[in-house]
Amino acid sequence: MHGPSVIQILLSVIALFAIYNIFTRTAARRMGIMFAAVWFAGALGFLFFVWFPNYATVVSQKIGVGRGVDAALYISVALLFFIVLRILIRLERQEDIMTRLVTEIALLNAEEKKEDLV
Amino acid sequence: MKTLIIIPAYNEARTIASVLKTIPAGSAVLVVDDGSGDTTGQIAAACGARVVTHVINRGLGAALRTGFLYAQRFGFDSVITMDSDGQHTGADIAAFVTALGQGADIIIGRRQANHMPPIRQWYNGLGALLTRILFGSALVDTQSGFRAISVSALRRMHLTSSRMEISSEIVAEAHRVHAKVVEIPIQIVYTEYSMSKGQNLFEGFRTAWRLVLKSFS
Repeated sequence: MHGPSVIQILLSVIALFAIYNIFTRTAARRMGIMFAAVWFAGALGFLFFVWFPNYATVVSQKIGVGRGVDAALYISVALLFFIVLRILIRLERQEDIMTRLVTEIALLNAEEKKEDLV
Repeated sequence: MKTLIIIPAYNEARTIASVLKTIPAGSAVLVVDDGSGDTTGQIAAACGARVVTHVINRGLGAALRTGFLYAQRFGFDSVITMDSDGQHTGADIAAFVTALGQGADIIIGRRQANHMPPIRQWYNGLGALLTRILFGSALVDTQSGFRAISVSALRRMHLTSSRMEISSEIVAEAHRVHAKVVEIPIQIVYTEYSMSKGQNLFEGFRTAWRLVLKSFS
């Protein structure tokens, strides 16, 4: 019987690190319970398929992708796209906050100038 | 009706004085110096305009939003926005004031397509199409910077854009708050200088992308 492969150990360490992160962030109230639950379920699912890769192939064939590795690749690309979109939207909000600050500073200076005139 | 003329300006020392000279005497004019590295603000102040200054450059949308807030806080009833690169002439201001008096919330200065360089016609058409797809607006010239807006409409609108996409966002917000929008024809002067400013292909794509992002957020 073969022991665990290097890639299985490596991916498991990554998944366990992600789970540790989810718990510490949730405990520090930096992540909502629902969001944490989704990520936790994702990490557990990831661990399951790392240790039982045959099931990944079974599931992939049922949804018509073929190999389990291909399905993992497609899901990763979709997930990355979603994450990038979220970051860009957050960046837009930060831009708006910066603009509001600049606007307020400009108007405060204008109000001060008006008071100086009075 | 107290109307404030808002001119957003970024490094427009070459043109700002000549633009201000076209504005009818006695008008309240606010130049929003958007973090210029030249003497735009000083020239505008020397010409008698009120000047507010951004500590860093934040873009057209940010400059307009500063102007809109200024109008609300300093007791104006309406605003007229115009470009600082010499494309617009103060001679058209009277038509905007008349339209505001007739009860319109937002008046957009519609540029005549036959007076527009082909590349600008293309940008303008694309901007109008995108605004129609994303926000359901049926206006012809959604990208014109020569506009009048009542302060009561501004108070109902929620503007978050900092860059060029503000033009489409105003149209979208007007649609959302059921503001009465009309278009009036305006004169437009395209010079080599004004063509080098404003929209270009890259800026157009960036604006389109920001509009798409905004529709998600």
